[in-house]
Amino acid sequence: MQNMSLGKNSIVVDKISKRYDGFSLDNVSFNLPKGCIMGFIGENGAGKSTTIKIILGLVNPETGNVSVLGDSAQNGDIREDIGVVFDEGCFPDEMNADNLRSSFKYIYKNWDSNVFDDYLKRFAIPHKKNMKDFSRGMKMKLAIAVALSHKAKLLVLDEATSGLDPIVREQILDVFMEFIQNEENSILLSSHIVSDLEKVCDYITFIHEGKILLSKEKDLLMEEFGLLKCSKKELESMPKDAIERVRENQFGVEALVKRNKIGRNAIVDKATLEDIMLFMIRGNKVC
Amino acid sequence: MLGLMIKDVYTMKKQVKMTLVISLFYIIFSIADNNIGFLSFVSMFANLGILLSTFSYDEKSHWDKYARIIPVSYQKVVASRYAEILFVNVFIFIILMPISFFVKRPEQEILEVLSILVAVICVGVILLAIMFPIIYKIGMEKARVMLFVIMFIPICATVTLGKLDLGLNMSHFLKSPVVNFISYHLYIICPLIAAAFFVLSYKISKTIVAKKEY
Repeated sequence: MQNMSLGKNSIVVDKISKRYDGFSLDNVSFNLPKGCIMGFIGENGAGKSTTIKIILGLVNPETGNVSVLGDSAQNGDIREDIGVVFDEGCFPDEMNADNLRSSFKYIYKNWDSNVFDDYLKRFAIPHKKNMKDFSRGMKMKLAIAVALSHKAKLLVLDEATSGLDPIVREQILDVFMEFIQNEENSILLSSHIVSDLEKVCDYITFIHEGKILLSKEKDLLMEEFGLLKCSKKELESMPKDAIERVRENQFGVEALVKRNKIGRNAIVDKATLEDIMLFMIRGNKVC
Repeated sequence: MLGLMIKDVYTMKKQVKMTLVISLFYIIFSIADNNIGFLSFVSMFANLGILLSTFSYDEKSHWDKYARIIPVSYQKVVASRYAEILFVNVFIFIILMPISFFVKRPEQEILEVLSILVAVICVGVILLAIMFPIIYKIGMEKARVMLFVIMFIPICATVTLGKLDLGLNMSHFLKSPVVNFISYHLYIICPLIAAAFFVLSYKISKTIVAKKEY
């Protein structure tokens, strides 16, 4: 790991591996630059949560290193600067928002109760209602309010938008966009709802069966790949190195292709992030 | 650490109310019957009902995982739970001591009453000291079974020994100088044993949590 990459990156994941029964993370590496939002995508069970747990120091990797804001996430001072939202919410059902405020002001040195109250107002979260009566959307919004109320520089969200309605998701994505206006801040957002990530992310890291398939700027990724719909015979006439993945259907074939290698004669449609993900997972490689 | 304890107070508020109602019931029983034995239930309900329920709530909400990403070391996370044992039991002692002296029968000595009260509280502390590392290791749901085992082993052992004719002369044994010394110094011996369990338990819990992955 180079010092230069530590300075400009909020997260540096360097060749981490971890084995479990029936699943393993294999040589996972990627960097999250400061001032950026990274979408961490992959199907359920691909290794997103395990990677995030390793980044946060909740699980120890067997090999490799992780740097968060230039140090380990197990360092208490670094944890002051990290806001985390898990998909479970993680706050006891018997507590309400005011109770959380009273507790967290003694936990985080930089806790700002005014900022917390502002988020409660903005998200329309009641102060006195117990969390057991909250919807999943309210629990997530409350967790995000906590994560943003102690002047965190890095937000890590594990499936925080999954299972939420589009209105709540958009409200949350707006908050992320505001957070990222400060160039020192960054967000690692894991989700399998790729349409959300397509809206807000600067970088995309795609994990599949414990391996990183790609990690690059979203715009470059969208420029690099396109969708080609043609017959099987037409596909055979295309340059092999331009075809990334192929899926056959009753009308012919659909291929995820590299725009810069396919040539000008082919009509290539725009590939969405979801298309890229689906082709990478379910498409066949051309031999 | 203070923040974690405040969080536990909010989490336990329902259990505290329930324990207070049940305790009041047993305190009234104790006064009506002039029997300090009922007060031991107050200690048990407070220790098991309040302190163990915090683990249940944490497990249900996945707070354990969250507690490892806040800027509080795992040592302090564990220490806060053990500090709660001390606070709850000091509170129980302060409440039950005057009630015990009020309830005691005229023939009972003050030292005897104090010894019983201290012993009852120390049994609660020892029970929690045994339970906490088990909970940290296997989780609250599985640990519930262990709680029943831990509580029933001494009862079953006593009943079984009572039924076995081992040829022991119990009255002779109970009048021996050693037993006499112990019974008159229970108010010192029990806290020493409980303190040893408490310290050892804290160290084991810390080691378990340090190695735990979430």
